[in-house]
Amino acid sequence: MLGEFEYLLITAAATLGENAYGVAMREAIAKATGRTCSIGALYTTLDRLEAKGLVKTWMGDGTPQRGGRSKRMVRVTLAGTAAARSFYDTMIRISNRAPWAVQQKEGAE
Amino acid sequence: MRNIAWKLIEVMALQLTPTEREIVLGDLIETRETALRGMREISGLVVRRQLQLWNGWSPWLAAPGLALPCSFMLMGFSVAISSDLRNRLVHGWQLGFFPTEPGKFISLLCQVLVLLICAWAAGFTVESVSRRTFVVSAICCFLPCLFCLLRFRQESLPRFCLLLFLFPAIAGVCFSRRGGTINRRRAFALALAATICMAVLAVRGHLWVLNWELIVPAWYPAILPVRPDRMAVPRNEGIAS
Repeated sequence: MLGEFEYLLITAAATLGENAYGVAMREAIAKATGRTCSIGALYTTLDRLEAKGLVKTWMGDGTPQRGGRSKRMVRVTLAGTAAARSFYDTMIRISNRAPWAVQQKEGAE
Repeated sequence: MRNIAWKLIEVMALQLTPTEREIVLGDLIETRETALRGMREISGLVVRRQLQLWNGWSPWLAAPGLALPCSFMLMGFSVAISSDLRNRLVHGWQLGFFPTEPGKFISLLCQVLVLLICAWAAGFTVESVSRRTFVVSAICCFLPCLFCLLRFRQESLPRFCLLLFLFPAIAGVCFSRRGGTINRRRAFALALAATICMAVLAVRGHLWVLNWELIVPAWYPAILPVRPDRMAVPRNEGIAS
């Protein structure tokens, strides 16, 4: 099963689609969690995910904003999608009767 | 000021692989991080990468397993040889430079051979087994040297005779760095020579039992094929381009 941060990375990459690369993923994670994501955590976790076959990375083109330096582009593989879905389903199942989930449901109704 | 800080960041990034350096420096430029934060980000990644290297067994074999103990033992050989040679040079004319007792000459010869072979093999093996943690291995080698240099009290010998072993050891490191490899037959011959010399010294009572560890770096390339870890593709270099 995925770890929490691994799930965040896969979700960010899947949401960003073709534009998934280091800076964009860090921004997406910071926006969603309210916490900054360090470069070290991002790239070491990406390596781990790639070694597990859950994402694929490659060198993208450089842009003037980056001083012409390349990006590390990320794409979620089918195995990555399945792992993220499994994590999500598990979280939903286990959270179903949690007080905060029940309160949220009642509030919605 | 910013230029100086950026240079510092680039120097820190040298610890990363070229591919990763390119990506990370690009990220820092794009996000316009402050110099302090940039340094924190780079140092965080460098520390993580270094720690990852220690997940394997090879850095542990190279640094605390070989560099540290071999350094202590080879210093012992360095002092013994220096002392013996000094006696021969000072009293050479009275005693005869080539002693009348061939046994003493054989002991000296064996000590010199052990020092040369084992120090060279230790340098070669430590560098080949774990190149990317070589700095730590070097520290593990130099700390005992510093400790012994500070405590060395023999007036008849200069302190630096302790470091005699460093010359063949550095030669071994340089050989490995230049991409040199040693075929199994030669490695076997060297290891066998070192073992025979050590056995002779042991029989003559000139060998401390722990000195036998010195044959580990000598036998290592003879038994296991040395695959310099520079050949291994680090995970972050596997990025498709």
